[in-house]
Amino acid sequence: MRILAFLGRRLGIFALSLLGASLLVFAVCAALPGEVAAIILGEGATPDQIAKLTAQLGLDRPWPVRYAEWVGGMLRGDFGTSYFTGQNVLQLMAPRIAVTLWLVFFALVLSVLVAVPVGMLAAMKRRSWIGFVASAAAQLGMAIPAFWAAIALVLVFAVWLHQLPANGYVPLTTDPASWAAHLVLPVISLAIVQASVLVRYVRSAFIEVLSEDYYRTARAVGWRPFPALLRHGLRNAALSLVTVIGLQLASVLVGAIVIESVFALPGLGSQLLDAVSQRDLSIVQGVVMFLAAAVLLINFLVDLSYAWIDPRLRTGDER
Amino acid sequence: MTLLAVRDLTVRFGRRRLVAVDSISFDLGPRQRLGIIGESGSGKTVTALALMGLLPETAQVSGSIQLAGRELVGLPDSAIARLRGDLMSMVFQEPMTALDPTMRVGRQVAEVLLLHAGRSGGPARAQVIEMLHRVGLSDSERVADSYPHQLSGGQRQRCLLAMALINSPDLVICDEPTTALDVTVQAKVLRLLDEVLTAESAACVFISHDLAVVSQVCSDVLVMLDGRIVEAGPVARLFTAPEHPYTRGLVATSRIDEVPPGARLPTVEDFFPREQAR
Repeated sequence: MRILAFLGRRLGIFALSLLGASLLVFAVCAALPGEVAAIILGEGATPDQIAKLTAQLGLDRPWPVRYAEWVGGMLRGDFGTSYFTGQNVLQLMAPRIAVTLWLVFFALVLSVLVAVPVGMLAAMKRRSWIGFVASAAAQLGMAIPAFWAAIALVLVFAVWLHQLPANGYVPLTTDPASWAAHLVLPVISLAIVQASVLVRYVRSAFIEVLSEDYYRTARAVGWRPFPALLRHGLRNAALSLVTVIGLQLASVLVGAIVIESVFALPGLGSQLLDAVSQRDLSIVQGVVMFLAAAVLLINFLVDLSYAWIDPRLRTGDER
Repeated sequence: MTLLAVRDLTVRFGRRRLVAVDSISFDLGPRQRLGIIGESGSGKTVTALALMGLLPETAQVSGSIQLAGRELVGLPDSAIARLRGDLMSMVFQEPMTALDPTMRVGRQVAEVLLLHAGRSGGPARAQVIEMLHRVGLSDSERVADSYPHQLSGGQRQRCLLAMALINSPDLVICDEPTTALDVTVQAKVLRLLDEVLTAESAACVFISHDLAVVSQVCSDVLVMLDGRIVEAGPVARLFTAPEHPYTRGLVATSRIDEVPPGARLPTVEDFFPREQAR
């Protein structure tokens, strides 16, 4: 069975990447300068005290042992405890995961919803001023840093128009309307860049479709250009676009870290920033590993979606 | 009565207004078969695309194309689109790439019905299966449920033929429909084309670079060279008494089986020397 072999291969790659990511995250955190114990104890600490606390935290043991313990814990759902507060890392992360997931999910959905029609328009009208304007707008959108867009949006919609909150977050379960209002500006700020990048990929994917024989066939049986592109181009273009969207997820997560601190959203990004500045490495490791796993999982799902989109992968023999 | 009347059709491309088709005129009656032959770049495919209104935006068309009394030149795309696949249809050269690889073939044929006859669901499916059967696909149920990559080149070309014929068009334009197929399949598809065109009583413009192929399907031929028609007439006359030296070259090269073994094969240039090599 071709599809099972395909699935097995992708699953293997997913597992290997996850292992590689964990090694990398661990190695980077282990190589960071500055001893955790020294930072916790502050400036006046004696070398004796530092050595004692290091032993208490288990940081004096060889790295393979610590790595195995960390990975083993995560497999059981235990991400370790914060060096500073002693709290369970996973429990610290849990309420923040939802915030980041909502932000990233809506930003991706919004950017796809904007980029696909705009990119199609840019491809179809590439010889007229409409296509030029669409491409130029995408170029401009790519050049705008997300934090600058965020500040500009806050200035207009929160400060001048008083329509939307400038920052903060309300959980969905507390007040859905307020939850949505608090997410609007962060989502838009994050989506602007992503949509602009995506527009360029959508445009070139559809320009390719326009030169395909099956598009000409669709036109020859009577489809108008736009319906022909939708019915026969979208699925074909989607093959290359889902790859791009999967890869974009990584940059959306990076963008989310910045956007969360601009809008003071209590998400994983702001947690990561706080943990880094405090050198709370068990939280840093946990958050980075979670984000890496999320990116790898999405790309694994993207691989699976190929089989759903492309019947040549799904249905056996090629003649 | 003429079905298709083309007068002074001229097609130019781009800002430099390069002439691809240079004021050609011809008529086609109902059920008539007209071959257009010529080498690549002679303007035969551009002529076909002009008839279908499928030229790229960079093309400028002038002159007149009347199909069943309706002027097509200058008609907006929305109006021509209604005729495409219904009153006139086209079969392309590349069966391997002309079908959407992500959609079952039966659905692609059914779409043409839905688009023009507004028929869908069960009745449409029955009609699709029947049409596929008529173009010589004996296991038409299985073919309808297949994706293009599961079919051979000859099967795909038959599916395209079914798409072109399912709405019983008055005019079918075939652009080298058998060039990409191997010779045995080519002969079968040509015979089939001949049969279904007769059965559907459709007229046909058949484009090819191969005089032998054209003579199997068509009664009349236009010879195109550098965007102009250099000779026109019944196929038989063209073979026996070609007037233009270029046509004489074409006829000679299509009869290489009559050349004695060991002798040099004729080329078009023997009959029609060009000023500069292309």
